[in-house]
Amino acid sequence: MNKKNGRGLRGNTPSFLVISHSIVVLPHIPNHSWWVIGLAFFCVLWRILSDYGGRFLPGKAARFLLVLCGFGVVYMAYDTLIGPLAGVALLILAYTFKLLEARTERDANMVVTLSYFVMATAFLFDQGFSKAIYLLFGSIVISASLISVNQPLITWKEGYRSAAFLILKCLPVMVVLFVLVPRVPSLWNIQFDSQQARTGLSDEMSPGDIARLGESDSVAFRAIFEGELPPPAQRYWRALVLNEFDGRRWSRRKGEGGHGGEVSPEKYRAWLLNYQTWFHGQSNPLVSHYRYKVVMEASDKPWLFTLDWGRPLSPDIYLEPGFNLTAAKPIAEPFVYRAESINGVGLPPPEQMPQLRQVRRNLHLPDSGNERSRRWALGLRAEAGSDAAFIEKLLAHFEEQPFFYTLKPPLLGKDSIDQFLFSTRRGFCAHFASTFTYLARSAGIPARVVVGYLGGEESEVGNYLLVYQFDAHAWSEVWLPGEGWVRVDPTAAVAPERVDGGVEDALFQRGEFLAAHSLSLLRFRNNPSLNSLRHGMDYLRMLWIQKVVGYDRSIQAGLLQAIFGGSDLKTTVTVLALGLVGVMLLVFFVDIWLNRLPRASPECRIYLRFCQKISSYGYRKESNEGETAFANRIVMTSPELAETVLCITSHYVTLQYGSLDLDVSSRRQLLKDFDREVKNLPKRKYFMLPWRKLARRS
Amino acid sequence: MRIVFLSRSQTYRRIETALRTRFSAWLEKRIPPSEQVRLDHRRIFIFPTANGGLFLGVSLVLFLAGVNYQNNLILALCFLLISIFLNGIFATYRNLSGLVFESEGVLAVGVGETLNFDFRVSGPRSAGQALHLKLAGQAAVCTYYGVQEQRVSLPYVATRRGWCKPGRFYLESCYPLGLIRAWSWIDLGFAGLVYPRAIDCPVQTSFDEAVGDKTSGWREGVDDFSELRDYQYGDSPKHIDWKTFSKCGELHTKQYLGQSGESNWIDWDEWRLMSDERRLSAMTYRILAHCESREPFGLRLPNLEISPYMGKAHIYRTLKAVALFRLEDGKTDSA
Repeated sequence: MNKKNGRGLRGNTPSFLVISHSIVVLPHIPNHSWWVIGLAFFCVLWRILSDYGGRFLPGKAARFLLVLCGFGVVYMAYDTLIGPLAGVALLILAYTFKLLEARTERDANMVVTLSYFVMATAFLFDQGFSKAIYLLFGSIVISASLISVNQPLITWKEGYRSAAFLILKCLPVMVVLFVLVPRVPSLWNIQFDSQQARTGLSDEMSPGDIARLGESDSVAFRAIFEGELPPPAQRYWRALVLNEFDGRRWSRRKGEGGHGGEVSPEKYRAWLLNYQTWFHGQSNPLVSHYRYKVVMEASDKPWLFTLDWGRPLSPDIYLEPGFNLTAAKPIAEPFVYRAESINGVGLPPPEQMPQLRQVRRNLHLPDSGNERSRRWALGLRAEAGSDAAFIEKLLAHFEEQPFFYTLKPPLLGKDSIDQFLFSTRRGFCAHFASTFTYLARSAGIPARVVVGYLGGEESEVGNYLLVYQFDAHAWSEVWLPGEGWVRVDPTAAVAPERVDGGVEDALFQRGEFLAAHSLSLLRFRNNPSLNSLRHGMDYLRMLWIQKVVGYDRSIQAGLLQAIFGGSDLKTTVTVLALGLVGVMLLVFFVDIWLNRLPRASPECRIYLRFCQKISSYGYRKESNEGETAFANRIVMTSPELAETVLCITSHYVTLQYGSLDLDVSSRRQLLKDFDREVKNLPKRKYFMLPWRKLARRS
Repeated sequence: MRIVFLSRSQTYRRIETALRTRFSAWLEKRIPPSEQVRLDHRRIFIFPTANGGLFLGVSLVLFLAGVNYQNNLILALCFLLISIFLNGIFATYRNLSGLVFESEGVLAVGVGETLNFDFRVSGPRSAGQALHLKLAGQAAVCTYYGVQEQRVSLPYVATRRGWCKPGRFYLESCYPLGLIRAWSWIDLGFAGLVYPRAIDCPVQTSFDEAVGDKTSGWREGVDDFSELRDYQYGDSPKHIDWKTFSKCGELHTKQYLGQSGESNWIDWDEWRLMSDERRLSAMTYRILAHCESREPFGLRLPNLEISPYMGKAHIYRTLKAVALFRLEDGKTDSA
């Protein structure tokens, strides 16, 4: 081994390493089993005790045992040794063991370099703004360790100070690289499952499912509109179409997920073309047209949200046969897409759209169960005479009979529809949509359940709507001859305020809105300043998602096109090279310029502090006055300060003018005393009359 | 035509020697020897250390991870690491750039003793932190934490008499982050005189002559006090009569018999039975003894005669004559 690399750790280096270890492991704590974290901190404790209380770092056998123990703990916690979470856990433990056995500078250097890597794995699970702040903070702490390993005599303060300056100096270059390094497409395709449960819509709906979302106050997505915002009653965000019912649960028909589903590509393309023709053919003034950008949070599900009826504008997102949008793969990171919608028209007349899927499929019901509702619906249909009249009568029934909208409906048994319709009559949107669709199908009207979100809070900061998870909603679509698919919301009949004012209005009287989140900012919507704060924070997060997390090839290309008039590889590389050199030179010269003056010696700084303090007594040192003369002047007029001031001055004079005779340790001691004396000098608190100040000065 | 078959190790050795020669020639052209060397971009070499390589490796892995998981925060960290690395190149380079090395000469020593090659390092403020210096061929490492100007001495154990020219010394620094190593080979034209090991040998003129015969020059009774004279600048403090000084406050020097002006010769022929090197060692011992006692002496070598005299220059001249006796220039000790 090279002699230099074999040098042991000196100074504060082991402590620097332990601190950066803690900073690195901290963001992993919520993701990992306490066994893993416990083992890691046990090793750190061992290291600390060994550093302070004599050397007893683990030998070969102990290290072997520890490694076995690590594998055991990870296997116990995750039942596997592969996969992202177990992999990261193993990495954390390996890194900790390396820290525990680091004896030489070479080991320590390696530990520090690994620290950066382990810290990066924390960002796999979350890319929020807070993580970015943590990135900078963690980089400073780790870099301080790197500095300490390579400059073992450095003090705590100097170490962290120079690390902070280092990161500050590196930021401009980082930004240039981030913006301009050509973004290559994924080299291999990994479906990354964060293994974290996220709240969001599911592709199945049982009674009570949506109510669970009703308790979550996290943001589902934001919609930024190019023109006017749609009125509250039109803020129906479609996500999924559920058309299969098994007596209790609504789900998607098998094989229907993904763009096209079971349909052949040619047929799908023809259908899409027809739809687009129809879409652009809508020129009725009653039809409103919206273009918007959706900034959504990660959902781990592929489905996206549009107002009815939507059309994708971004690449890589698709229209499904149910006229809902979907992404090619689950949305594991915050995601941005653009879409347009037309609103106020049924979709679409069958003669214009060759049917991909028979509408009649939406009449399918389970063979048995809920018999009473079935019979009741048939009776009502016969009474009504037409489909449209039947729907009106049904809605009127919901409105007139004592149905209640509540987050906490009673549990339903086997014949859930019967039970709800005739006895409990308390339910959330899922109950109403499910019952309505069931009854419509029973009466021979094609109908389906649509889940998505209803509503959206208008942000004070930008022209956009904020849609929360508690805005999740379910409603129905029925197919009427001559009109096509038409939206019907049975919940609106029971609780019209749900449509106009949102969930919180509908649930306000019952006190159910966000009952579990007593501290949620959303509960204080009536407080305007808190509202602005919440909207401001969300606006920042939206910017963050759009500009940083969502920064990709297409945005980069757009940026280069806009500024440099080209986005080909040659332009990118040229701009990158020029930008890099320019910024590096800039940083270099700013650095030199900032360091052009030598830093004042410590004794000078302390003495200046003393001068500041003593000025509160009305004394100001003249530039032509020596330190001793100044002290004498103070002593003459304020004898009560004599002892302190003389002591401070003599310390300063010794340090500044007589320090050649001092050796390093006594000089350090003297500095310490000097510093303490100045610290102990009290600042004059009370107000001093200006003429007294004048009198003292002369 | 003669065909020479070389064994594999011989081939390697030849190639190595050839490469080494070419490299030194190239270095000689690039950084010519000089009394004063200033480090600049031509003289500083720079390359990542092992940890720097690991650091870049981690950056690469982060880049791949960031691209594949489309994770911009990981990419940002990767770019921050690259930025730290680039900054490290600058900082490490600036740490060496502008340093000036000036040779300050070296004291002559005997074989087996340590030559201290002194030189001065000065540089711009904040440059020259954590330098490691190594004199070629020997593991002497000297670490130095920068102050604006500092005297550094590189120890080197002399193994042969003659001119000791250790050649270039190696200088490196991984300051401030240990990611980049900047180094240089500097030749300040170091040359230290190494005289033979001083060995006290009895005088032998012929086969049968007894040990310790006093035929010429060497006289017993250096300590025989003869008289007091006034103190002159340069007299050894050992010979000052401190007793008189304490009484009357004037400095007087004691005169001894040996110093009474009769010149002593240190003669090559005095040690006939010994090897040349041994003879030189014996002569060195005698020169040093005279030096100690401040007696004038002369030196006779087969090809050279230095007439009796005393003083520093004389002693240096005689030591040099002994040190370089029958040495061609090419045979000096150079690494």
